[in-house]
Amino acid sequence: MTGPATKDVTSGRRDWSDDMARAQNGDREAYRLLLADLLPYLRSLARRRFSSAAEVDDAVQDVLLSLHSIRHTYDPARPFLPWLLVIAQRRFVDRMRRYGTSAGREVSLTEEHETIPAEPANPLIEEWSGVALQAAIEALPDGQRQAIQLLKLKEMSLKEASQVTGLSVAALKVASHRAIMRLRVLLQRSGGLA
Amino acid sequence: MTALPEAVEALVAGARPVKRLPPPIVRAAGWLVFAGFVIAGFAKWHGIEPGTSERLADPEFLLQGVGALAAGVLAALAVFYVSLPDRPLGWLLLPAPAALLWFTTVGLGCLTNWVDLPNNPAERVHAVDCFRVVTIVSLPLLASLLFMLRHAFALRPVAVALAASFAVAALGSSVLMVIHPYGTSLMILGWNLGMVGLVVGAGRLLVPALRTIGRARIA
Repeated sequence: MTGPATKDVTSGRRDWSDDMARAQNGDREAYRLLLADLLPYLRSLARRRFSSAAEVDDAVQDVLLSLHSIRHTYDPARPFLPWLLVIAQRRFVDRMRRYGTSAGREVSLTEEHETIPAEPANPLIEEWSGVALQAAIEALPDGQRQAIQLLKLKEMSLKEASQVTGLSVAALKVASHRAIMRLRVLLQRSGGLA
Repeated sequence: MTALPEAVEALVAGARPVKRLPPPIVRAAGWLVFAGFVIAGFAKWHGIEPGTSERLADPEFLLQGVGALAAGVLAALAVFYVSLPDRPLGWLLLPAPAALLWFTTVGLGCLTNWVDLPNNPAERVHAVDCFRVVTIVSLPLLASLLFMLRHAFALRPVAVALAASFAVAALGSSVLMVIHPYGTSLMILGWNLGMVGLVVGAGRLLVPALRTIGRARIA
């Protein structure tokens, strides 16, 4: 196993058996080529069993981990594919079992859940709370108001807000904390917080 | 979740040369030689049961011993084959004829003492001795076999563990027939299946955690 990696003349594909034998001997380049070559094949196998792209990738990663941990069990005198397929099937079945267990406790979100917001329980109270919150924010000192608007309403990171305001991250953290404390007091006074 | 190309790079970075497993028949032979030394050492320490030569003249006793010994050797061979991903599970049928011969001649043996314990406390000494002998013989054999087959627990844990426990039980039983006054077949089977049940159960709890750690290591 010292010559260059060969290609299967009938399929035009790399000789996975040869690559695996080289990988067992510590040839990292052969191992990299083998694993990269296996990815689309394993993905196509996983897609038959799993629908989401994340599940497919997780399942393929499980197979790669198992392949890596028991690569010493491969005998280069025997075909590579049956060896790989048993590992893949085993990992897929394990994942499906785990999925079956968790699926019983979960409800999938449909497209409607994601696009149509739930009807508010009491629109008048929610609208009033929003008005009270807006008024309380307006009543904050300038620095605290700016911190709340950037960090909480516009959902900027501390770093982004720091660039916008020119304040340090630490100063923004302090301003944001004080603003929240102040808002709590203001809303309790106005009855906007239970 | 690590992207797959990154996972590949992480695995490649940790890819040291590995020593290929020898052929299963060689590994099975190696374990059987080790088992032979363990059993011979125990027999020398414990001594052969008086009257064994007369008992060997009994065809049923002889068949039971030969059946158990053959079942043990063949089960050991089969489990080394099945422990490899690309070998069919049909190998597990290899010891079936010998096992059939063994089972058809097995009596309650030591378990009679356990069953009779509440009525006959004097049997307690025999029963405890039986359990001690079974443990001393089984423990090193089962532990060494499971250690040699540890790579298989990622793929076929239950089948391999059951076959391994059967091999140890059959082999141990055949030898204990000549160094212990009572038949130990059922007790040794129960002991080994119980131990393997514990090992597989612990594996079921630990393997998902180990896999999570493995995924975290390449993340």
